[in-house]
Amino acid sequence: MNTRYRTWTRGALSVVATLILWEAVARLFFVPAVLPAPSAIIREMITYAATGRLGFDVLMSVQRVAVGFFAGSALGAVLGLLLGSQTYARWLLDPPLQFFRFIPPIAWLTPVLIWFGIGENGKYVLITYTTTFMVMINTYAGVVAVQRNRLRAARCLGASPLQVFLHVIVPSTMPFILTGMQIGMANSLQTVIVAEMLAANEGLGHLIISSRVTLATELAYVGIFLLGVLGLLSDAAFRKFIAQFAWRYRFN
Amino acid sequence: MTLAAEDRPGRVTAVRQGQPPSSRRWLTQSRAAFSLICRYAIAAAAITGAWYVASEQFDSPILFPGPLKTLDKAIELVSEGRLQADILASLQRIFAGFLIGSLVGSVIGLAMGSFRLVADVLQPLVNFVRFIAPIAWIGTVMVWFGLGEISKVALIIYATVFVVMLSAIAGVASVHRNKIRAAQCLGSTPRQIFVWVTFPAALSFILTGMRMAMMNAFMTVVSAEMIAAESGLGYLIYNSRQWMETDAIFVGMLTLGVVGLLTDRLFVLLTRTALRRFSLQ
Repeated sequence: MNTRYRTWTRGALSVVATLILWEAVARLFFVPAVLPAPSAIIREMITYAATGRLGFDVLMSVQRVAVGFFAGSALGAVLGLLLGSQTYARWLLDPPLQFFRFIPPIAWLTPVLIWFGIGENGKYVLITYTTTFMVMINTYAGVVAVQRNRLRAARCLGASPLQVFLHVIVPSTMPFILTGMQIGMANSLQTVIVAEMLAANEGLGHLIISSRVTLATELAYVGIFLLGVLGLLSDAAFRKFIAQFAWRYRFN
Repeated sequence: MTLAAEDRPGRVTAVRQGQPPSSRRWLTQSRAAFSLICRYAIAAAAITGAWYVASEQFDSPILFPGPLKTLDKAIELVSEGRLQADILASLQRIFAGFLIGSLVGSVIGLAMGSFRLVADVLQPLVNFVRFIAPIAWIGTVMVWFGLGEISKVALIIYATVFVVMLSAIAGVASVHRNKIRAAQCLGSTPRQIFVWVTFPAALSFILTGMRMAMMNAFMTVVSAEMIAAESGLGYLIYNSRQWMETDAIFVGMLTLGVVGLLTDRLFVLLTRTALRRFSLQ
């Protein structure tokens, strides 16, 4: 109890001290274009939020990530389970998967825009790919890692291949799927920001890059700050979801 | 966790089953290597075939170039010297940022893992900042460090630091308590415990973290080069768009895959040979 209290006070002190130091350094040594003070950033955030544009930008980014994330997680989990549990598919598909792992999703930006258009669809496809790939590769690793004795035990007790799949492979792969989703979420946030910087007229990425062009540095920091908040919130929500509904499937 | 995909089932069983006498071990090993090469060849052939058919169906070499056209472009880019220059530019940025970032990340991570005070002070800051995508800082680093190489290297340091830091913390936390107790019983000072027990045990985690960070570094360097650079594979991929050189985009993407895969293999090879004691498993 005591250590917890101490951790909390130290953390709070460190955040407050950092903010004060930043404010002082920014005011004393730097022009706002190089390092704006936290107070200026907050002021800018309030004025910009009042115009309604900020909410719109956040909403667009969240929407893109959400669509891609849910579609990609479902697709990735199904593909990973199927590929992982078929020996031949596994045997053949492992090398190409290893290869594509190293092509960052954002590198697909131009082909995706050419094939699926510069509207929302292109961004959805890109984020879906990002998540699908991460979830699939983790699911696949999870299927491979299922303890052989558990499979043998189920078979000894007379389980059919389908039963083995549903009652042994799927549950023991769940932790890997969830981890894949968590990494996929982080990667999707990265990808959507770059995609919006390069090919969009709204969203947080666009906000950050366009503020740089107009030298509204405070606004760029508002975007960066909100990006952090978004990442933190989505991660917290995901953890909460796992603790609530999927606690059985956590890695211990 | 993505690393778990690494443990190919075929290979593991080949090594574990039976353990042939050392005179015949090379045979088993070369057989496994041969099978791996075959798999890569079959997969490459299958994908190239599918790609060929798809691009023929699409019937627009500009929008979707086939393998042959891409190969032509690759040869052209290599003979002009552009592809090599771009690979070199990207790799230099990655290595500089990756090495500095890994060093900084492991130092901070070890400190956070070992000292309560450091952990308490840094935790809330790290927990917020690590969720900000590296590329979001692109404008900021360019204002601070200029348009040159340093700003890109700074971004890659940022992309590397947090991954390595988190694995170093996990590594310190994972040290078996009995090992520390044993060292204490034998009269070790806290410093000796850190050098001889905690650090070696955490090193395998740090190495795993570095391997993951390498992928992040690739992702970041490509994004940074797409947005703000005059060289590098990301620049090649994005700039070719303006001239509708889709074939050059494909060359860039395939090169990224090859370079990334080779870098990863090299890292694994180095850790398995030079730091064998510390590699996981």
